[in-house]
This record gives sequence, structure tokens and C-alpha cells, in this order.
Amino acid sequence: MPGQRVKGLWSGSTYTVIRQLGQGGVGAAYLVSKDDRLYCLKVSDDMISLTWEYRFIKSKGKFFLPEVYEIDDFVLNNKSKHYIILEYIEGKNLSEVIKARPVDLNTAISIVLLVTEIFIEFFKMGYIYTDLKPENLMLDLKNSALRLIDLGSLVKIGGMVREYTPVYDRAFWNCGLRRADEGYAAFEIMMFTANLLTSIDSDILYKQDVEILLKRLSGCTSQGLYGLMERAFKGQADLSDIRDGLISIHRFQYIPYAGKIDFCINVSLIMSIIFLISVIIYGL
Amino acid sequence: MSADITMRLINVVTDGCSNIGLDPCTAAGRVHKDGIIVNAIGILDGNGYKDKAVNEIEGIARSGGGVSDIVKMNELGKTLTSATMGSVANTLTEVVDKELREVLRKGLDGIHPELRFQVVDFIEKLTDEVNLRVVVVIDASGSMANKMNEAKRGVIELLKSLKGRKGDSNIALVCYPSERNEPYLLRDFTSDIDELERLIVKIAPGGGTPTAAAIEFAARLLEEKPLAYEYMV
Repeated sequence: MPGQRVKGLWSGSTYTVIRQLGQGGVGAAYLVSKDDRLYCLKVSDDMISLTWEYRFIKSKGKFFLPEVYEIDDFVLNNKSKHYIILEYIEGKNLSEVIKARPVDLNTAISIVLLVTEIFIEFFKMGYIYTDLKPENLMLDLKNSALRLIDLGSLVKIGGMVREYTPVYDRAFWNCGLRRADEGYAAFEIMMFTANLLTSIDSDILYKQDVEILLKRLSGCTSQGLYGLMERAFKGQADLSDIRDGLISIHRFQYIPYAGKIDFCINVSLIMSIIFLISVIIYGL
Repeated sequence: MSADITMRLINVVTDGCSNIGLDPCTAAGRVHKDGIIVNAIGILDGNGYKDKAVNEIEGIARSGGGVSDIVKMNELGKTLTSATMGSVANTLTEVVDKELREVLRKGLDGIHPELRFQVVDFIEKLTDEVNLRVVVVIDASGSMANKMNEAKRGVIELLKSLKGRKGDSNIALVCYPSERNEPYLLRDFTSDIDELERLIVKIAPGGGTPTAAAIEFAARLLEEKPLAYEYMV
């Protein structure tokens, strides 16, 4: 509710609500202000998930995550609630961008490559992000970067997948357990790619059969990408296979930049960002 | 508290509108007193939820110490899972909170938010490691006919999710009504997805809605059963 004030029980900080930014599984996010600065305030009844998210960002802080400033309790209608204060990311949500204009193959590869880099970072820390979807990705206009905005689905490797979206979920497609392992992440990334390139309609969804999906995909993607999807869906690709595969497809398309692998990764990333920004400019 | 504990749950999947026997909320309350959590998931037709049905579904979960939710198409499996795991986490949080109050004279609320993470980590670990015995109670009355496929898929999805945990998970399946308008056991506790999938196809909807009797039937299944019984069925 715009204009409403939220006062932290422990810190005494007061934030004024400007508008709602989004609604998720465990709570809602609001744009708020304090001392003329804008923040994102995430409210929830779920103390566990907020405490966890606060702690994770605080201890692992990465450029692709929003910064976190505060965790506190407050009282709303005589009920105790919890909030965390996050950096407000100025930009566009990927789901809005792709709704405005469907992505082409190059842009899709760029986005997926960036996502894969993020997933590899998580994997090195011992975590799997299980709810990859366009709604959780922000194109940060100020810093020209792709950033993740909801950590609710992050689980330790080997743990149970709690948050997921059926379309991207390995168990939904009968391709394996709903357990957070590297194969789960690889599957999710390539299913996300498939959904960027061809909309997976309810017809295919209902059949829950990757073979049918693959048949459909064979018409609208490059051979390299198709092979990568097939391997990920069958549990035969890990995250570095996906990164290397994507880079080689990318390199093939930008031969002038081909060179050492390290150099190539950087170039790919820079190119990706340029592409993402151009998507926004031309897409709106 | 050790992780070698078992929690008992009942998940009711219904479209509300119980019409035979007791009030299901009363039944859920009684069952909860014995330490069983009752969750209720509503599958309602798309446009305009019936207030009475929603009240019944929320009432069952409130009296049963569980979580309720109303699902959209294709999301039952997910909702069943999050209600199950949410109610497990809530219950464990309550237990930990009570322990804290006894030892420290203050609960989780009394600990500074920045310092709660240790307790939170502990609860998360327990949630993943605790053994679960879950009875899914499926309303297969006449009004559920066009939602049965969704309900069947949902139960399979739940088992798929629970199997990703470290702790053991077993699901039993109770349906209602039988030809005599009573609840019946479709499958005793199992963690075999394939078997459950084969059996679940057999459910044929039709008849009245004795939800309270079905909740009590499920509770008996979770209660006084000697272990050996499982292997006899």
C-alpha cells in the first residue's frame, strides 16, 4: 500500500512504501525509500527463508546478486512480520523484455551463457539454483549486467529441490530426481534455452516427454545447440560442458574474436552484455 | 533433538463441499491433537471460487495445524510439496521455539534477526533429514470427476519431490468414496513411484463426499499400526 511506513523493531529504521515490485512464493517485494534513497524491501512471514537469503548474500556477496543491507521484524495489523532491505535494481525484468520482443538465437545464447557463468559460481560455492526463469532475471541498466533477484530456490548440493517451475524441472519431464545436483542445473539451463527459442505450449507440456520436445526443437535451432540440449536432457552434460558448448557456438558466430579460451570467455561476456542492452533498446 | 525422528502428515486433496458425516474441520482438529499435521489443498474450478469450499479447506488446515492452499491447473504437485514441506518446517520451528523459551526464556522473536541464522540452519537441516509418513487423502467424489487427472499427477509429483530429500519418505493413498460411500485404502505406505503410478490410474470418481471419515481413516493408518503390518499387505 503506497505511503505506508514500515518501522524495524530492532533497528528503528523507517521506510516508506512507494509501490509493489512483485509477488513471489514466500512473500512480496516493494520499492521503498529512506532518506531519499530507493531500496527493495522484501516482506514475508517466513523467517527461515528471509534469514537464509540475508545470510547468504551477506557472506557470499557477488556482483550478480543484489546487495543486502538490513534484516528486521515489524508489526503489521498486530502480526509479526519479517523483512530484508535489498538494493533496488533499476532495469528491466527479462520476462517483460521477451514478451515485448521474442529473442533470436544469438541473444538467447548470450543470455544463457551469462546464466551458466552464474550457475558455475553457485556450484563452486556448493549450491544449486533450482528456479531459473525469466521472472528471476533482471537486466541491470545502470551496471549493464544480468542479475538474479530471488534466491529462494538456492539449495545445498544434494538437497531437495523446494522451489521450481514445472517447465524447467527435470523430474516433471521424467528425466531424473528432483534433487539439487549438477545435472539438475544443466537440465534446467537447457530447458530454459529451449523455452526461449520455442514456446513450450501446453500440448507438449501435457505429454511430459522430452523426445517430442526435441523433435520440435530440431527445426528451430543450430545443430550445436540441439546436441547440447539433447545431452543435458539425458543427464550427459555438466555445467562446464554447457559453458564450453555455448562458447564454441558463440565463437563460431564471431570468428574475429576467436583466440585463447580465457580471452574468448571475456569477449563472449562483453558481447553478451552488449546484446542484452541492445535487446532492451530495440525491444522497447 | 536427533534427526532420526518421524513426522506424520495427512494431505487432503478436495474441492471442498463435504456432504456426508461430521464436519471435516472437527475431524482434523481431533487428529491434530494426536500429533498429526493435516494439510488441505483445494482444487477448484477456474472462475469464481465458492466461498463455502474455500472456508472448508482453510478450516481443515487451521484445525489440523497444517497449511492450506488453492491450486491452479498443473500446479497441484508443486503445491502439495510446498504445503507438506512448509507444514513440516512450521512444526519444527514451533518445537525449536518452545525449547528456546524453556532454556533461554526467549523465543526466536527475542533473538536479534542477524543472529538467527544458526537456529535457521538447524531447522533447515532437520527439515531435510526428518523421516516423513504422509497419507494423501484424495476426494474422488462425483464433483471431482474432471479434476482427477490433475489429482493423480499431483500425488506422483509429490512423491518425486519428497524422494529428493535425505530423510525417508513414504506415502500411503486413501481415497473416498467407495461404493458404500466410505473411505478406502488404495495403497499402504510405499516409496515406489512406479507402483503408485500403476495403482493411481484405478481411481474412478463418483459418489458423495465423506471428508471427515476419510481424515479419521487416514489418522488410524498413521497411528497404532505395528510395523509388521506393512509387510503383510
